[in-house]
Amino acid sequence: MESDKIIELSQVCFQYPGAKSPTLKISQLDIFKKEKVFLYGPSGSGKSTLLEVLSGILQPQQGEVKILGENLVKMTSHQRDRFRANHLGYIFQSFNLIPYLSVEENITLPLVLSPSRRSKLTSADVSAEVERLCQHLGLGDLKSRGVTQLSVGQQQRVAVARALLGNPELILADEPTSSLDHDHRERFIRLLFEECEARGTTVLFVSHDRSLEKIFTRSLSFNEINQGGAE
Amino acid sequence: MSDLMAFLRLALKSLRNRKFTTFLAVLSIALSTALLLSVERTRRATEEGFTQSISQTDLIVGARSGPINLILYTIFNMGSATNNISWESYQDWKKNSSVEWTIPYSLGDGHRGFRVVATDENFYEHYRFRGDQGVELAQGTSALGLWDVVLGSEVASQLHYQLGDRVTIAHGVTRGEGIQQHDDKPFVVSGIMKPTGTALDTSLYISLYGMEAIHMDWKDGAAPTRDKAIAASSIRLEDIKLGPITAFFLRTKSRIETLRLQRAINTYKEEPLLAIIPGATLSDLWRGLGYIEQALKMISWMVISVGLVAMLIAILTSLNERRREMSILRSIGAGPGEIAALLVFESALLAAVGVLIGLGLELSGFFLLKGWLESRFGLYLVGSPVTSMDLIYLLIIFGSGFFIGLIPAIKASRLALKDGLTAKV
Ligand SMILES: Nc1ncnc2c1ncn2[C@@H]1O[C@H](COP(=O)(O)OP(=O)(O)O)[C@@H](O)[C@H]1O
Ligand SMILES: [Mg+2]
Repeated sequence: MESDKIIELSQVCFQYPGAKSPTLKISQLDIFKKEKVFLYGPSGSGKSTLLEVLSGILQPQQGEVKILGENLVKMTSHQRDRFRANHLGYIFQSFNLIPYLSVEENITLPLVLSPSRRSKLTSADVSAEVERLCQHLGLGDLKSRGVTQLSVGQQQRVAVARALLGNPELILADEPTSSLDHDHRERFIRLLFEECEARGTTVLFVSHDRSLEKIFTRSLSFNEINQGGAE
Repeated sequence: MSDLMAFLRLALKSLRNRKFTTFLAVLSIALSTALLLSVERTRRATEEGFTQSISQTDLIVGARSGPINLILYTIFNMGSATNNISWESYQDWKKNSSVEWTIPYSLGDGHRGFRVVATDENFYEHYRFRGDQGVELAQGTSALGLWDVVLGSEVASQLHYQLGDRVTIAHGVTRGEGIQQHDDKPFVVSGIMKPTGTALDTSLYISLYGMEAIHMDWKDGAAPTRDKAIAASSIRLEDIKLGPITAFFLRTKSRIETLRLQRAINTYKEEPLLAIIPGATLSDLWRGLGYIEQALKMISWMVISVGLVAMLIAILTSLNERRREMSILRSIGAGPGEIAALLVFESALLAAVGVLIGLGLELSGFFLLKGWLESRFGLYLVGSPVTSMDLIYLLIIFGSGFFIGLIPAIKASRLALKDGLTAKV
């Protein structure tokens, strides 16, 4: 049965080793395919932790984490790594890129680690796709440039290109705009959305800054869905 | 397969990005490898030089005393004989049907702290060391004439003697100046030996006749009074009757005879004699000096430990700078195992390159300094430049480098994503 939910959390509880109380305690969270969800909450509330649980880097002590209908909690750590490589794109706040690789090498990096993500594309496809992404994201003539020579805005667009290459179903974005100035933020998100709409990619975007909320299809308060907390 | 290649390329690019730390890690391994190998080579050359001080001689024979004493005064110019061998006994063994050649040695006199050895033409012809190395003259001819003296290379260079110089021999081997000089019968330098890197270099060589001639007019170890002295000019080689010698070297016609001959000499009725197999006695002596070897080995291992720790520090330091890199790799699907593999590969590569450079450094250093080491320190290398022991050492260093790489690898594989990304590097 094909579900229209891409993320289904139920009764998830996550506590850092050594912490006094759980950081995450989420009874239910559903996100549907092709949604663009904005999740806001104050710094330190556990948003990044949630994204790490969703990507299978952290294992909750309790509950189910279903992505694309598959329960991450039941997988082996190796399967979770494969799953992340094959189905997820991750964009960080900053420092998204490996400094000693060129723009193109950074973008194609996931293909090095994920044979199945690459197997979706032939090598001719890869260069065509990289070319197309770069053109669209305004990185056209920067492909062979070292990433340290790019502006922060350009670096974040390279990160988007990398997250999108190979068509992952879900993009997790951890405050990717907080290092950009206001004008660039909106432009950046619109570019991201255009690409995601063209591919039918789902976006989960977390931020402490609500100024961008209105462009998204849905907005959630982290503190409302999460009963845990670091206090 | 191509994934692996891409993965390795990533590791190489990462290393290139950290040229300086990479360089330091490789350098520390290379230097400690080179040091270990040179200590090892020195040890080998020392042992080789020691146990190969004499070769192709099957037995050394002297008056009965201890084997160590016998080898010390014949080979190493140390100590002295307690007794002599009569000329008749010597002739007896020299003519033995199992004996191929003998080299007589008559000791007891000196010149300015160096020993004088009286011997015959067999010394120049048959004496061997370090396998097949023989006595060679850099200049002049062998000391076969009555008043001829050949100088060891060290004697010639220290005393600045040249061919034709006159040399006076002192009675009784002494350090410094002899009290009683045979100054009425000077010798003339007829030849100078090439350096051998053995104790041969620090002796002077005259003929048995010369030795006999300077003692002809002596009575019971005392110099003659003026009226009893015999003038050098009146002595002729043909008139001299040779007397006792101190020791002799012996070569058998067939090696199988050695033990039988040794037993026969040791039980010789006419005179108490001692025959030793030089190789065996030298090995015993070297084993007695085993602590030198142990000390050298200890030093080597300490050096290696320091090199490995330096590499560990270099990798761990760079790990801190690389948290972001690790987080990015994790986020795009690298598992902890892959991160660990990346780091292990890296340290293995550093260790391998370090070990190879170390080997190269040591070998080239050795070949460059070979001549100098030989002439200055008498360190000769016999055998192949790289021994199987060296290879084992190299493997041990490489293996330790590999295992040390596991420490940062385990550390890195435990990093969570956030660790690298929230850090304000
Ligand atoms: N590795 C960790 N070990 C223990 N506690 C952690 C760790 N990482 C984060 N925390 C704590 O968990 C809480 C949530 O952190 P985080 O998910 O980074 O919040 P946000 O992304 O919303 O700013 C914070 O109180 C933080 O101190
Ligand atoms: Mg965060």
